[in-house]
Amino acid sequence: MSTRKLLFCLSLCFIVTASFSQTQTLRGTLKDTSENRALANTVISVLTKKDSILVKFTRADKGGNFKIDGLRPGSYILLITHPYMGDYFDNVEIKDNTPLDLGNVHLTPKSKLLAEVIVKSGSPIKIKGDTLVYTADSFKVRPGANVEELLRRLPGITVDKSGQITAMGERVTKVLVDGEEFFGSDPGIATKNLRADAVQEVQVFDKKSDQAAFTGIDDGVRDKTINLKMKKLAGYFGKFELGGGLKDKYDNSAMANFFRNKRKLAGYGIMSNTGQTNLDWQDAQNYGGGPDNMVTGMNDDGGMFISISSGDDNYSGGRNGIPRNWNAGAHFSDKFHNGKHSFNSGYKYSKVISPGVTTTFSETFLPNQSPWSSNSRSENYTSTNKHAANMTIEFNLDSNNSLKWTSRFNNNSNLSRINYSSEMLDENEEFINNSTRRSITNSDKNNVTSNLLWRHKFKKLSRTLSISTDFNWSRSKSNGLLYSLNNYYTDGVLDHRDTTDQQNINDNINNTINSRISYTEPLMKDFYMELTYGFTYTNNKSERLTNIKSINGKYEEMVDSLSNFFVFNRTQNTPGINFRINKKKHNITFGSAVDFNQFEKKDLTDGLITNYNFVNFIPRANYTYKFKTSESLRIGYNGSTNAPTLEQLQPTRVNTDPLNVYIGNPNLRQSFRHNISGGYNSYNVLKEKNLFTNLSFSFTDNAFVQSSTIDSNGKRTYQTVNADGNYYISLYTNYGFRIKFLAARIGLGPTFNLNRTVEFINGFKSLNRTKSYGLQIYANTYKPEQYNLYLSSNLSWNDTKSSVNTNASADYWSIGLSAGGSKTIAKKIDIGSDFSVQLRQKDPRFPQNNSYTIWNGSVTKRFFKENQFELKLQVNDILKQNRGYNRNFSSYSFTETYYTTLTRFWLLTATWNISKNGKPAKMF
Amino acid sequence: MKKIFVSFLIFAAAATQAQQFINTGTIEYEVRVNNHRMFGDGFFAEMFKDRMPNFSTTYYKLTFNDNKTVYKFDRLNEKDKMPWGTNNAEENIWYNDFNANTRTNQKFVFDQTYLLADSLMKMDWKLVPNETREIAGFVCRKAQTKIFDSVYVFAFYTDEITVSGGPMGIHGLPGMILGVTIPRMFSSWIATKLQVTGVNTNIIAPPTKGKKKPAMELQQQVEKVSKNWGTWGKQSVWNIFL
Repeated sequence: MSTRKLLFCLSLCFIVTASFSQTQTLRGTLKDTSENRALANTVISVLTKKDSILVKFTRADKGGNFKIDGLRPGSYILLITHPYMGDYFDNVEIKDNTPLDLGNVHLTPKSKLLAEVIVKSGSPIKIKGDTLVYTADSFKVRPGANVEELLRRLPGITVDKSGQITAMGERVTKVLVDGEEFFGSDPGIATKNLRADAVQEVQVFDKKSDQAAFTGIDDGVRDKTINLKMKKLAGYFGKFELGGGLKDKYDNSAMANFFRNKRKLAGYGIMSNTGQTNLDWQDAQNYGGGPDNMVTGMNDDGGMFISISSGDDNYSGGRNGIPRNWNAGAHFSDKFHNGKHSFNSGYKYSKVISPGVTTTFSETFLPNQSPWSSNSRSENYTSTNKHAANMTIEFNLDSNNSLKWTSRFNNNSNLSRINYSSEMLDENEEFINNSTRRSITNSDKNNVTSNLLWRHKFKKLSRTLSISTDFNWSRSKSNGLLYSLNNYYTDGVLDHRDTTDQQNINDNINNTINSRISYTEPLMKDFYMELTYGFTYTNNKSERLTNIKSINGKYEEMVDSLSNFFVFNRTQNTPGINFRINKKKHNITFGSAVDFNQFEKKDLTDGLITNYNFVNFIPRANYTYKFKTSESLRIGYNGSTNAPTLEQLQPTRVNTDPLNVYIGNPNLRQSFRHNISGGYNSYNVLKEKNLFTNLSFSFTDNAFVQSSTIDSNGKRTYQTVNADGNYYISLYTNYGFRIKFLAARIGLGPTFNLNRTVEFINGFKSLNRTKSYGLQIYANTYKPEQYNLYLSSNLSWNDTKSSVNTNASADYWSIGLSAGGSKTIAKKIDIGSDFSVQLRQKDPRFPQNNSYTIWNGSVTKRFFKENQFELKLQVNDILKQNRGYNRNFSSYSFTETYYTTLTRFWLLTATWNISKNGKPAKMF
Repeated sequence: MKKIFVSFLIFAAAATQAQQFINTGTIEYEVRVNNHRMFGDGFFAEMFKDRMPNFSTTYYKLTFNDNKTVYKFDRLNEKDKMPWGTNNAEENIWYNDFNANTRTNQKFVFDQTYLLADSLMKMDWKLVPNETREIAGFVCRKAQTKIFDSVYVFAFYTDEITVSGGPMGIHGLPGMILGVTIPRMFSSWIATKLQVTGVNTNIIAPPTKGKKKPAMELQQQVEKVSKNWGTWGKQSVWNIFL
């Protein structure tokens, strides 16, 4: 053994013995002062003198003897407690090497103690049943002082060194903040942590015990309580963004939210020509009263869902032109009666101008005819002005009744100018037809909706009733001029031409009343029955005037065949019954609704009345088996009858596009769609593994399909007919897991879609089948405040075939890949970049290269302690490859579409965040 | 003969002390959770607050004898139960042995039942002996401690019950803990009933069901996956391992 090791061992021994020698024993015997009885089971606790930490405790034996071992030398408090004896406090000093024997310790019965206290309690100040109120501001404290300092200033209140508060000579046991306990009932926590300048009033009173307040049974216990009434929490937060880029790009916004307690007043303004056409989700929550297109709810077994529909304000990447937009909005909300009643209202305005050009190229293959090609170009200019206002009032009358009233108003005015030209060429590149069309349309839409919802819970558990009534009024008017010139050719020689030069005036008024009653009855444990009844009445007046130029050159001569006035009435009664079984392992729902429809169409021009009646069935059944909380298997069936619309049965004649004419089919029957779907889902939280699968199969009896007749001039006449044979299969899988050494989450899953549709072309039945096999792969990794990387790709093989003409068939692969990330490269400097790559296999019929890469990059520098200021330089589409492109295959044609979209631009943005007493809310 | 004498002694002792000190019994705790506060102030919470009860109440039973306790779910209040989520509370059993300073917990964690054996949680209590509160007819003294480094626990204990236990893994005071509030968990555990006669002490036994795992190892695993769940992550760690 080396000397070093020996030394180490020795020193270890020394430490061990030293620590042994450092603990001591405390002993003693308890006696009752009055009867000198031994006090078995009495608790003897040893606390540190400094901060009352419990070090050791024991209970006295039958003879009242106690012994506590292992006490280190130091100053302690000895606390001896017994239910019927007064507490005994004593300071004890444990010294090295000497066990401490306290000998006999005498305890006094409580009854005796109490008597003494009563004698003493002639204390001068006592306020009973009253509340004493101090106004905080009238007592000066230094800036930044806490509540404890404030309390020291208040006459009648003392705070000792250890933070104990005495009011009117009594110890304060509770400090409440706005009537609620602040992190438990320990007074010190509130008084030390809250700032004095946030307090409006200090109230001193005697409070019933919590248990009494809770149960309503007064146990006679009163606690001296201080309630700190806080100043109304008021503040604001906001964001100002100023962005500009050469030559002409701008993206500016300002938004602010002012609040005072539950009251909230927020507003925003945006002007942009870089595609930021509305508030994003987070900003909409904080500054705009929430996104319009979001619905939250709860399904039968209690699962929560949020569904977000794509709003009409989204131009998704500058599609259909490059928008310039101006948005503004305001939102006000408040809550009353402890949050039981609430009021919400908002107003939004937007103006969007989007000029753009769309060109299409397509090839058409008709059965028994030679193929032809067609090209079109459309220059659009649209300007949209929208006003939207909404108001929601909610009353939670009591715990069993709630009322909610929602109203909305929308106004939408639109100006649209279109210059359109198209040509259709045969295989020798000779004209079949060509046309030009110019139109200007002004339209104006107003809509008012009001909904009243009453929800009632019965005394019996799970028995509920809800009644909802909707009223909707809308009116849309439009006034447009249309000029079109169509040339038809035979063997390349002009055969005939037609011209349209007319004014179209439309006026459409719609009134709807809808009411729905839903009643839930618990039949037995975990077994519920839901009865529903829906009633809808719709009244629609539709007036259409078509004028051509009269001799004086004004559009004053009405064209009778194109002018009409219709009234549609629809009455819908929908009773339904539904059963639900919620067991721990099994969830079953089944039921059906029946939809009785009566349509009436009155032609006020010729007095003709047409009636249609339809009965639709909507059965459904669902079964879920839960292996575990996070593993389940689901299978379900949904069926629905669809009735043809009036437009499909008997359309109003329109001549806006003479090359495509829709005609009615009065013999159209209802269709019935069956859907069977199932899935297996599992998620292992600890291993971070998931498997989600879903398989769905639908087929339709008497499906509504299109039947087209195309004449030699390329003029298409089409209608809706019934046919069997439409079906759809889809498979989705997703397997995700974590790779430890990369600290990344990876997921992949094959997908499959098969869609078979039936179509009729010039009397031939065509079976169209689209198949696509896909593989999705994604990966992401991130470290908070350091980096964040993601990759997602979608590989697919597409196969389109049509029985009528194999020339229009196509099979090709496509890859969509997007990757991006951000990294903090230096203090408060982030760089970010993302790619989006679209690769499509070339098709000899489409000459242009349609694979492209969009690459964006940005550098952000944040300033100040709270990152209040931010500078960001971004370049979008660095390679200038972005293009609006679409490819579409149908049974007898394929089409590619190009449209104007945003390409490369750079932008320098300065963001300034302001806040006082508040911050924008986050998701969680 | 000797036997008779011993039992006589016990009887005599019981006659003088029975009304004061209790070492066998069953305590019912009413557990209340403030759902609205627990869900926080995020959008997500705001959206669903009107669909969930402000408070949820459940009842647990603590049976104690011979310095050992077992704590189990008893029932929930159907009126204010949360509308979603399966209730796996009955899967959880806390068994503490204060003589041996050990605990054996059966815990349902995410989707599996684990059997976790460990020594009792170390808790340094600060006593506030002057502050008392009556719970279930007992005068209780106040004490406070911190668990999981930062979570304040306020407890009220009575020295009339000689077992130094409490709900879940909370223990270490000179008597039985009849009331607990943990502000950061927005929860309180308050005893409502104490039964001393006819107690079935046979149920005081370590649970046996579940996958065996060292408690600390599972805790580290849960902490790792819940790291990015924000405050919910912390809540779930506290809920599982307390």
